[in-house]
Amino acid sequence: MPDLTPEEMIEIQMVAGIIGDLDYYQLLRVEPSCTQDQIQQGYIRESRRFHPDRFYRLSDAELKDQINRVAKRITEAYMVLRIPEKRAWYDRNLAADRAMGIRYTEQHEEERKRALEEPVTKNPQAKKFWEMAMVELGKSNPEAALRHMQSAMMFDPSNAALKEKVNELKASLRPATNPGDAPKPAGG
Amino acid sequence: MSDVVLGIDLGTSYSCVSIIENGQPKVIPNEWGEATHASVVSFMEDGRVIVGNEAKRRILLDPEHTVFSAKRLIGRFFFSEEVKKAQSFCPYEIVEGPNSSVRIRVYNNTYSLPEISAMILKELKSIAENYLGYPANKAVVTVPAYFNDNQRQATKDAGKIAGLDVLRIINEPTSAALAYGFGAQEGASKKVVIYDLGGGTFDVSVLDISGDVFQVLGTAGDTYLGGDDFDLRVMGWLAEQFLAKTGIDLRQDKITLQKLKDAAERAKIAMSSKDATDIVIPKVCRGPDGREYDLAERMTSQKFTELTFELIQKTFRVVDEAVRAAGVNVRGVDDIIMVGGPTRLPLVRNSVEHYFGKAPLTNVDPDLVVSMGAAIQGGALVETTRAAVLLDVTPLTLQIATVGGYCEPIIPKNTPLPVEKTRTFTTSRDFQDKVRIRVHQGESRRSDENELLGEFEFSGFRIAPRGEVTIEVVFEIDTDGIVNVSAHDVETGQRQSTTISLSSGLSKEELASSVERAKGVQMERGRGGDRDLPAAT
Repeated sequence: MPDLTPEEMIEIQMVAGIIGDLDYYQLLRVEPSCTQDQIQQGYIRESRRFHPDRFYRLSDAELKDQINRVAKRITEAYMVLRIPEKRAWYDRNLAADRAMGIRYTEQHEEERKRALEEPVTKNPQAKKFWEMAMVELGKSNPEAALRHMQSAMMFDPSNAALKEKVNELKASLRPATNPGDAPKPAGG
Repeated sequence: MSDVVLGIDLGTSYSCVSIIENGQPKVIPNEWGEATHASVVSFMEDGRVIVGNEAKRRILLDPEHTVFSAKRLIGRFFFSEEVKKAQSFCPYEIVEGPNSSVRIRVYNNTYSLPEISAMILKELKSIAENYLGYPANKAVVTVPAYFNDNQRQATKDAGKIAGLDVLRIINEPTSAALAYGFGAQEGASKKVVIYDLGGGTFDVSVLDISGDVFQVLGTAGDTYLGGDDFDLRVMGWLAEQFLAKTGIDLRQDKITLQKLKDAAERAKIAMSSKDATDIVIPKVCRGPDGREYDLAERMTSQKFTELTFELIQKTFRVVDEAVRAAGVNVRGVDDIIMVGGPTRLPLVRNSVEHYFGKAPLTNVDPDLVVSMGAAIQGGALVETTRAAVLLDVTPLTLQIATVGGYCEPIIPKNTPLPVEKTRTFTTSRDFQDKVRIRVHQGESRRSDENELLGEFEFSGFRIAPRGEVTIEVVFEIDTDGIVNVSAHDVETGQRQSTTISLSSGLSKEELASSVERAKGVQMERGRGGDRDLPAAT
């Protein structure tokens, strides 16, 4: 029974070795801005690489254990990212503190549930737009989310949380600039 | 070829065993050419045990000592509804064992359910070995997609008792899809429905298959709907006709009843290929006048449809449920796979075609297809060819019991496998040195409405004031759908010792003694009788 090729072996050990540092997008090998369909495809693709059945014939128990750990982490990533609301919450946690937010824990889930119970705004119109913005965020449409969030602010202009969210979204939408590639002044 | 892996379909009514031969799945018949074997175990007074189609004939002749439908009881607690239901129709003695487990008592011996199933597995193993000419001790065994942890674990234990190393437990619908060659082809994702009408149960699953990745989207079933119900309808009609003609009720005598059941089953099978069939039982009974009577009836397909149409309608209510659970549109289904003998009936096939607007796939024998798929996966696991990826999901929500009889979900149903979830607990009393966690599977918020998997006790904590020791408990469900629970101290990383109590399964000691006891059982395979029925119903 032939075992793994050296390349496969290295690949597995590499992923298993750094698994604690990989966020869910890296685990599924998708971009953080990807669509929900791409999440699904990423999950299927990575499961094919790391499903324990693929390595049944290996005799190395330690290696099989590593594979199993990776497979379980892939499921974990998929279970969070496949639900847009959870994904948005995960993105937030990850942006706030990568080390703490890299896994979606039971505490994160509790915080999310609590946040859902306590609306950001009491103004009914603002709340409606805020919810629409969250849905767009879940679908990874930050532009649309920003538009809804700005609409929400029109109804509840003094709300600090909304203002913060708008700024956060604006920041995330600003194109990444390379050093030495300064944006041209408008109209120049 | 010592690496041969048996693909075993351990059914409620019939079982079947396959291997891979020259790269193709092959069903192994017994010495009499029978490809399927009744999942029935009959105990003789002298200690001999008969398994298979011969044992099936003894259900009505020696009901107290003939165990059928063991699959309905495996992995259950004695107090469960399912066990009460079985007690109402099983003439053999179902008794309570240690830890509220279920035992069967025959001739002053008691057997656990894994031991009974092991006798069937041993029979299949010996059929395979007889064909191969050398020992086979590896197997992939199939279970219904909805089987919980207890039932899967007990099935694995049965394998162990039978002397089999069960490499994988896989789901029946997935197995059927494998046998149809799904997974061997690349291409766009397909929605496939598996319509499995067996001898005693009906299951529907909806799968998403993209390339060689299988994902179960939804399942539904009726555990009391199958080919046996068709037989009963035909039997009832035969008896009524006879009563009207002669004034004699054939249902009063066990042996006559068995003759009637055989005739009904044969007539049903004939309806798969004929428009009408003559049912003849010479000398079916002796009347009060001392004269011997013959039974002779002609059953047309129209009559048969009339008798059984309601049963078929019932199956589509279940299909509706599965399709809804999967979030799939009926017209968006790409393929329908037929499993189980009764799906040979034109009436069933036509109804399925009508429902989905598409002809079902029928080119693989519906009695053998599940076992063939298991052989394919078994072969792929040990060979160099890469195994198909079966992304099965957990069919039930894993929950832990909290206060006041409530439950808290840990891993929701339909979560893909393998998976693990971590929960942290802190001590609530000073110097607390152990914690007990009851694990359930089911969808209810109340713990008593869910299936109990067991109680785990973690002990050996650091001695400290309350709240100072934090224990991380890891709940894992592996690719077989089997639950593992472990715990460690967050601060020290020290793994806590675990004991499992209140489990419906066998303890290590019980398992070991069952393995020993199984070696002593004298198994005998009788001739399948005078019927020309290699296939199952």
